[in-house]
Amino acid sequence: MRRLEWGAMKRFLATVVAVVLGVAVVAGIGVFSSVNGAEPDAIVAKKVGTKSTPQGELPHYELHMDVYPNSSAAVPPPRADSPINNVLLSGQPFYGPSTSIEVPANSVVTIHFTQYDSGGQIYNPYFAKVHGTMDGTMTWNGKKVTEIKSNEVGHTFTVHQYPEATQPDFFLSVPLPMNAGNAKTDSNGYPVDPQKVSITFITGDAGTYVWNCEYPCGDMYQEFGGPMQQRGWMAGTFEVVA
Amino acid sequence: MTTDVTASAPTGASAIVFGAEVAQPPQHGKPGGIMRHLNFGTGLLTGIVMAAVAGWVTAALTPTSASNATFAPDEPEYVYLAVLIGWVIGFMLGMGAFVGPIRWLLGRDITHADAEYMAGKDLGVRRYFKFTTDHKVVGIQYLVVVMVILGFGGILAMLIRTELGVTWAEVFSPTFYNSIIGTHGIAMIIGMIVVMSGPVGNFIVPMMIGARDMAFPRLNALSLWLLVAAVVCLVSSMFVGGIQDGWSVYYPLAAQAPPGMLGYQLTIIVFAVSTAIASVNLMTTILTMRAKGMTWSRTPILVYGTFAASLMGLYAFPFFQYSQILGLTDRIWNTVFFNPVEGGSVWLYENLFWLLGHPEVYVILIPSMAVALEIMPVFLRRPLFSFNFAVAGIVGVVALSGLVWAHHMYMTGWAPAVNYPFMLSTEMISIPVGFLVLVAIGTFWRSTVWTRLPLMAIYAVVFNKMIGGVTGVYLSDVPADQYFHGSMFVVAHFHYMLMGAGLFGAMGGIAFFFPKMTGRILDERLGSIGLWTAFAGFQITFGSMFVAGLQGQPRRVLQFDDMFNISNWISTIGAYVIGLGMLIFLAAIVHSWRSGEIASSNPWGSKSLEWQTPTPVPLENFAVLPVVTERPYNYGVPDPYEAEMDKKDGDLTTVGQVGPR
Amino acid sequence: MSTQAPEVLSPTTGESMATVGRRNTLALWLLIVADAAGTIALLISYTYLWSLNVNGGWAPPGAKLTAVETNNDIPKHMQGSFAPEWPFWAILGIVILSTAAMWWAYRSGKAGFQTALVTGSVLSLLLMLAALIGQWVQISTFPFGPSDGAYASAVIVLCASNIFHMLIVIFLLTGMVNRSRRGLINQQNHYQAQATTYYMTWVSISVLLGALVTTFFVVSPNTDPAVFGSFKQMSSSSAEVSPAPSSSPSATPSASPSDKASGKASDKAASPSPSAS
Repeated sequence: MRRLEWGAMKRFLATVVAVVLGVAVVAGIGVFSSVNGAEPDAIVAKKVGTKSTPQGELPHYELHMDVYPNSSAAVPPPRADSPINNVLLSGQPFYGPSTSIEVPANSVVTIHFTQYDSGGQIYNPYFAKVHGTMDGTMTWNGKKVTEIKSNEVGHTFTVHQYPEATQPDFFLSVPLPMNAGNAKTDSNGYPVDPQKVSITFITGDAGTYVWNCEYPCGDMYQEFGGPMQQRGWMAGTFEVVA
Repeated sequence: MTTDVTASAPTGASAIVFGAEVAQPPQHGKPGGIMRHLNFGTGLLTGIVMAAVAGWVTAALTPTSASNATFAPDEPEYVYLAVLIGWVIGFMLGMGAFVGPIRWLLGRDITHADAEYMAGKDLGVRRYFKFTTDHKVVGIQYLVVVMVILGFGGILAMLIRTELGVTWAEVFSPTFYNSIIGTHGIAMIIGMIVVMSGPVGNFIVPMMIGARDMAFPRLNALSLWLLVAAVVCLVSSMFVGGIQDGWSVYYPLAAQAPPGMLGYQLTIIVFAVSTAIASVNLMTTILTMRAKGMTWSRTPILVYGTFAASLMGLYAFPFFQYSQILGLTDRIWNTVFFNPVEGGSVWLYENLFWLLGHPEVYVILIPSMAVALEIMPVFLRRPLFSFNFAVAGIVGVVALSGLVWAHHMYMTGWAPAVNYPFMLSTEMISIPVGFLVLVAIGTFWRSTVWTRLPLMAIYAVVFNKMIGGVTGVYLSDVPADQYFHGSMFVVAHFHYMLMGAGLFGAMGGIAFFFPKMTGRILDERLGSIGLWTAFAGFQITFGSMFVAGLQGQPRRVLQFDDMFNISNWISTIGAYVIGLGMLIFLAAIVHSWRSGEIASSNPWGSKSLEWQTPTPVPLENFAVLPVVTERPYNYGVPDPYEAEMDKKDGDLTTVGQVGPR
Repeated sequence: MSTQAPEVLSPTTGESMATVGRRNTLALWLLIVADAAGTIALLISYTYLWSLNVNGGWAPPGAKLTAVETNNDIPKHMQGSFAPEWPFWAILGIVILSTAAMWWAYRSGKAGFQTALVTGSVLSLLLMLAALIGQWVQISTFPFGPSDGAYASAVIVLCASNIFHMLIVIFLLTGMVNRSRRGLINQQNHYQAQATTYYMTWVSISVLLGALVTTFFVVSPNTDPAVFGSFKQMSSSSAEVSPAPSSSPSATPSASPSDKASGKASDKAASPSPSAS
């Protein structure tokens, strides 16, 4: 009888140990991968005043983003989620300082892009046009334009609607013009006179979106690989918070 | 490996092998030769050293700035590929896989004493960590390797469901999520392909047919250790970008993937070799080594199932292997097979892939259905309901399995005109599969049920298989597939088939053969708690996933609409319940293996040959090779076919197959 | 002819060598099934791409040029054309000779002529080595590289498959030579020689199949192939400029409208500065 009880106890203990170990292994791997793949802090838009719009007077926010052709001594690369990506993506273009963007709901938002990269012919000229800004234009080096030449595109900043029924529709796409191949560069290899683009748009209610570059600018694996697939490089999230 | 029952001469001109004096080739050194010094440790060491050397040399030879036709840097690709190839060759070298071929080349033939050493005679536990040729050792090694693979895939499954609990959870980065999806998929497929034909096929089938070992014991060990080498390649891919394109790695996604794709490609190339070798070995064993009197009508259904799976694997796997070889040359050598811009075609890839991809489903399902049919007569104490229909079902599946592959491609735009022929062939294959289910149900009909753990698993299999089968008929229907294609409905369907029928069948098989394999009874209480917990979790997870699929949730996608939140949340809870159940089942296995109740040689009172051996099974299985005089399932109720068969086999008595009725 | 010797038994299992031989031969046929499935996969790939001529990309670039064009200053790597057919058949001829030599060796060994067995194996091995060298020379002198279209890729991989088969056969034949020389393969125990001839026969068939497709399926029958995967249509009409409120040509860096791929290539070649895009 005593032996039987001890046997049952051992069996129970074995079960508990197996379950605890199993849960610990799964949780350990999960937490490690989650922390390891975490993205840098979001860029939060700062309030600069108010702006009058067709919807009335709305608060006005601003944020800045830069596009680099590659990392350098002056601009460190984004954090990669696997060691191999440090190697693969080291010479690849990226948006900085983060690709997670946070903007307030029902406001006017202006994003200032400084574009240091070169470019060429975009496959789909639709993305050489400006979509979704307040007056359908963007400011390029101080001048308002609605589109640029499709063979002079460096990158695009294209926010996509995720198929979610409960958040408002949102679509925004602007082309960022390229720098000429023979442009004068500084010691880090970046053009001294980069392309400057500003866009202003109105956000709706809160929602979560993703954005990416629609110019296949990742010179890897048929051009849609590498940085094009990576948060932190040519893709990110765009969160409209209440 | 075979051995004699009396002592053999250690060296010299002749040895006594099973009572006969047999001339021996010269003995070189001690029995076993260099194999005495090789084991898993030397395999690991050689593998790691050769991987490191190959990687280092390749890095030194590749210019850092070199890039391929699609501008991907060459160095990480070449180095990783060299590391993988170095690992596979080094590991197999260190295990001793090349010793046999080299001895053959040198003309130093293996003696009886060598063969006995390599079969693990008197090596104790050490034989489990060597290139051991005894089919029983290989069976146990397969069992452990399979549990590791399924455990790895299971961990990834838990991570997937954690991420999918609610939309925008973003527990993991999207690229990592994609890579756990792909790796989970292919790891589970590999695990499920070998889960029955590995442990049971190697350990049980030779005994079931009354043989002393497999036809080719060294090939047996080779297939196992190639699998180990392949799985290491698979796991390593997670550290170099992962497999981000689902388990089917369609092009051009695979061409855009980071170097982890090379890990996938090499895994498949090596695994296909392992499968081909194992298939040839099993088929030859079954065809040529059945005991005297074991005619085809007296061969147990599990043997048919194993044979069928081997046959399908044999002809279908090379297509998958070559799809990956061509993918590899596209990547490394800049060929253009799957690159449409230069004259290649992604449909070519899809065709080659699914030419294996669908037979592979039956490679997984048939052994597990066969093991179910093998178990039922023992616990229902009656013959299989229509053995001939069961065989016809298996033959029908094999015949049709190669003609259904394009039903995976209805929506790809490849040759829409052939959608309807493929729809017809796919719906036709449900008929032989239906035979197997009907035989199972017919055997249950009005039987005296002795419900033990293995039979409980069969209840689960029959239930899951019906749901999986019926939903599969919807998916095979072209108009319905237009809606279901690429949705969670598909995911739920194939989990019902591969996991619900495949894995639960394997759990039943392992519970059934556990006493013979380990000498102990699998703890029934713990085992059944684990089984039914997993079963309950399974229904919750995938039942709810059917709902999400019907609502329209696409598969493989990280974020989804809020409307799918409830069904995903339920699925995730169910998945954790499956995990809990599987851990309990694992605890039952580990606990019973260490300190379970000692099993008698035939605890279930089975009539088939493998149970007539002592437990633990001696090295040579049978002291005297058995003679079969009866059909395999003659329990209690007489088999209605038996009288008819008796007339045909008038010369053989029907006193009993072996052992008591 | 020597006299009938007593039955030879397997040293490891004690079974009759005849039984072991039958079992091994059966397994060899099964392995050939797997090997043949792989070769068929390659032949399917070849004929599939040949029949589709996707994007007009079947033929190597040079084969699409006219005679006049090839005389002009077209870069060397653009001049690729279809491979000459005779080397495929020459290699097949050597492989068949090698197989015939091994058949002769096997038949002689079976009849008790041990010297002929050894001689035949050596001859067969030498012929197969010649075939391997021939195959290697053929691959290295193809008028195209692996990336010059689907034909080039498919032919090169077919030849690589031949090399793989030849290496296996060379391993087997080396064993044959050594083992027959030592008398391990002899009149009583000849199943390994038999199995080797069977495998070599299959290898000959696979080389023959390769030679057949590379001879008779050369120019794609599809003269109006599907054109996709190319972005030419978009790029040709996309040079129109933005008539925005104030477009600023002076600020616009001027680059000639160029196809994406060539633009990429020139980027790579010309500017080491920020040119990742």
